[in-house]
Amino acid sequence: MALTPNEFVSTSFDIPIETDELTEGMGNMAIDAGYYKPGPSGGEGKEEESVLLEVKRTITNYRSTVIRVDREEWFYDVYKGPPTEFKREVRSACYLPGMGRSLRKVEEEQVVFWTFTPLTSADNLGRTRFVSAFVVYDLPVDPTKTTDGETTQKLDDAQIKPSGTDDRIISSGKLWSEAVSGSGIVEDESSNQIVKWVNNVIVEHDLVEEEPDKWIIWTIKKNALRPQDVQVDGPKFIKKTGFRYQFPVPMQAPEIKKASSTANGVRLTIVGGGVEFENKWLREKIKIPPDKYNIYRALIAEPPRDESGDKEDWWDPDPSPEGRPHVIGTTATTDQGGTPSDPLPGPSSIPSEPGDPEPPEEPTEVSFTMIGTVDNDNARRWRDEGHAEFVDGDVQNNGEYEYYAESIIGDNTSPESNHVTIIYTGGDHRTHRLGFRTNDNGDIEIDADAPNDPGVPPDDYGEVIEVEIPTSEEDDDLEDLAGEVAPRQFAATEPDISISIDVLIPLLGLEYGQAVILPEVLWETYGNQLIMSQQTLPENWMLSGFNMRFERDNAGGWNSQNTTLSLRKRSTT
Amino acid sequence: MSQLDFVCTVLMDGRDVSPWVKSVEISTEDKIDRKFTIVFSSWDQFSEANRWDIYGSYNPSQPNQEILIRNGRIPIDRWRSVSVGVGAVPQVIGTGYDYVWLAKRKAPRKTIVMMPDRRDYQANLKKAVNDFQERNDGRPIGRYQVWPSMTNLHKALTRLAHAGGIHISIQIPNYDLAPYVVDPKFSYWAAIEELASPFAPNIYYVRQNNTLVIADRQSEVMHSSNKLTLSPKIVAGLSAVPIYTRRIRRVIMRIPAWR
Repeated sequence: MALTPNEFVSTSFDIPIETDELTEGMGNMAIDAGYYKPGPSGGEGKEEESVLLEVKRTITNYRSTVIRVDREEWFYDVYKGPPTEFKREVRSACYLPGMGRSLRKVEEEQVVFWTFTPLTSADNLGRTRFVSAFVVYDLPVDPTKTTDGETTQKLDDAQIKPSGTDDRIISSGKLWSEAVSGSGIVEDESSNQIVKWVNNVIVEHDLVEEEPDKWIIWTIKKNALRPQDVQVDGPKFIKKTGFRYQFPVPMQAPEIKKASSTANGVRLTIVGGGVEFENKWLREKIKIPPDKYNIYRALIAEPPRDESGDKEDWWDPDPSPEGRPHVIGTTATTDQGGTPSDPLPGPSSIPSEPGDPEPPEEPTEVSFTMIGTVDNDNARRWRDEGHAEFVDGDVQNNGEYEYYAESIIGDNTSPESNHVTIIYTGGDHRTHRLGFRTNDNGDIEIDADAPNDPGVPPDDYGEVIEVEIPTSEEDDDLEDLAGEVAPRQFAATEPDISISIDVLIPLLGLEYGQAVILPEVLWETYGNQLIMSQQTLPENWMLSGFNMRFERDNAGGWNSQNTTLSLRKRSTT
Repeated sequence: MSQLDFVCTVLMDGRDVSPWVKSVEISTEDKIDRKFTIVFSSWDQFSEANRWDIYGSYNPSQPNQEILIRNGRIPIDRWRSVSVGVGAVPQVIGTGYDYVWLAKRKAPRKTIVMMPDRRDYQANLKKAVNDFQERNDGRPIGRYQVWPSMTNLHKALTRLAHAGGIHISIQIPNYDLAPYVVDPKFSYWAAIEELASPFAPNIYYVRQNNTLVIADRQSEVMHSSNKLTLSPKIVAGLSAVPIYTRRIRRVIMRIPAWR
């Protein structure tokens, strides 16, 4: 099944063209391209490449007359396979003897590819190229038919030497493009030139032979206008690119030898890992230590990170546990007689009956995240066992954590090591996590992670902000500065609500940030046997915007319509 | 509520043009700008240089009770909207902004380089300029003027605001400033926003005293104007929507190497 274009791109721009006294020297080129765009088969995040299938270039002059159209088409059988055919068609409004200036086809090209090596790129394909085009011939001139040296003058203009025969001067045939771009055409109807369509005026062959390590390409060019002149180019060699073979490496899992609580966090000692294989000839075991270790951690239990023990005074209450704000609240629910009633039954208040299945237990999932990569200390020493130390600072007193490690050589990763569970009893409490690093140009980057929020999905959810602080504070004070900046950015994530209120009179004295007191509007709702009373909540609101419109009435006074106030919830902190 | 004695007065360069005004609409575009749209019932010659003041009052004997738009400008690309109907007086609609809109666009004539007073003044100045060019792909900063003694953030913000023609109230912490080059493309206002943005996601403007408030989102301080109590009689309707707020996971603070 051949590919057909399903995505079209059009471009148009002005181009400078040759100026004369009548033109302004500007033309226009329009390019319409058609692509085949495969569907989203590559999975998430994989953008598949589009394949160009057809292009049409149209050149118009300053009078919007089309003077040239090129159309190219590529044919493919399968996506990302080699092309099977290429076609090109040129239409031009150039002057041709006997045809004048009209837009017509002047050249046609066809390339047929020999796709016997379907896995190689298009450069290595055998192909045959045919060009059919108009050819301009100069005819012999009979000097006796004209007078006064007119013919001689014309011949001089056309740079043609007169000949005595009646036949065409074959050797003077020129491709239309050569004739037009040179000065070979005499723009006169009585001139001694004719034009003729010649099929396959140029034929080219690319012959490709394949050998185990290379392709050999011969190119043969034939031109019908110059039958004696057959060009043979070659041989041209194209080396094949080598393949990289990789055998599966028997990677061995490392071992977490020791995990202990220190003042800075949990300290892990990792040993072993790498590759071990036997050289049967020398009867010797060869051991290659790993380059690096990856360390993973899962949180099993952790006391909530709170204010107690916050030495640096960085603690700020988590912004999100406060629920989403709302405007209307239910004040009372009664039945029709007025006696207070329970609220409508919710899922939690449905009593269980005998025979009900046991509610399923919530699955406890231990999810590991990679917390760091550490180099092997002993990587230089051949046959030495790998060894590394890692300190995980992002832990909480009395929290329980589980760790494992992987050893790495190149792209190979070992299976998981033994899992180690530790209850951290080390020392200080941390609420915010700050990381410092120095860039190559001397800049310091401070990295702050938001506190864990039980209300949102973990890991990569959310946005990253970058700010630049042009400060000259000492290194010790930077930590304080970061402690000031980061919580302010995190606090902007508070859930909020926006109210808009239509007011019947124009209000003066409105300012952003003004405190607004809403009336408590009471109303009742009836549902089934219940009456529910509701009211607007007496929250603190502030003015965040307004829109007023005054119109003059017929009596010359002012009317107000559509006064709208926008309110937002005012922070209680 | 048409019987309320509300009066609106429109002044063009101090000249009362309210008899030709058909309607006035005033709205806030954001926390800072205030936008106005005037519909005139006849053609008048006005240009970008005209100054517009709009007053509102509940008392017809004192029409200048409160100023709604001070020193407004109608940008030249917005005002010229004319509509003509059969048998109707032509309408001219002009849309403009009050004084702050203009102040927000005030830009320094030369690039500002803020220098704290320290040793190696000239060397540091040269380094600051070179650093800025490197960071901006070699874009030259052009002619520049040095603001000396810009030792800390509050000083820099205050001076930028005064140069832009507004007062400033700073409610964020202070820090020592390194040599700092204001982007040549920035207005004074943009420079203030750039410097204050790490601390203050919330910047607003108090029109009463022409003051820009750089406030903390955490402790949002209501400025001291009258409380507005809406009685149920004047409220025609109420609707509420939750606001999408960004969930920020991580903040990366970059500090240039100046220590």
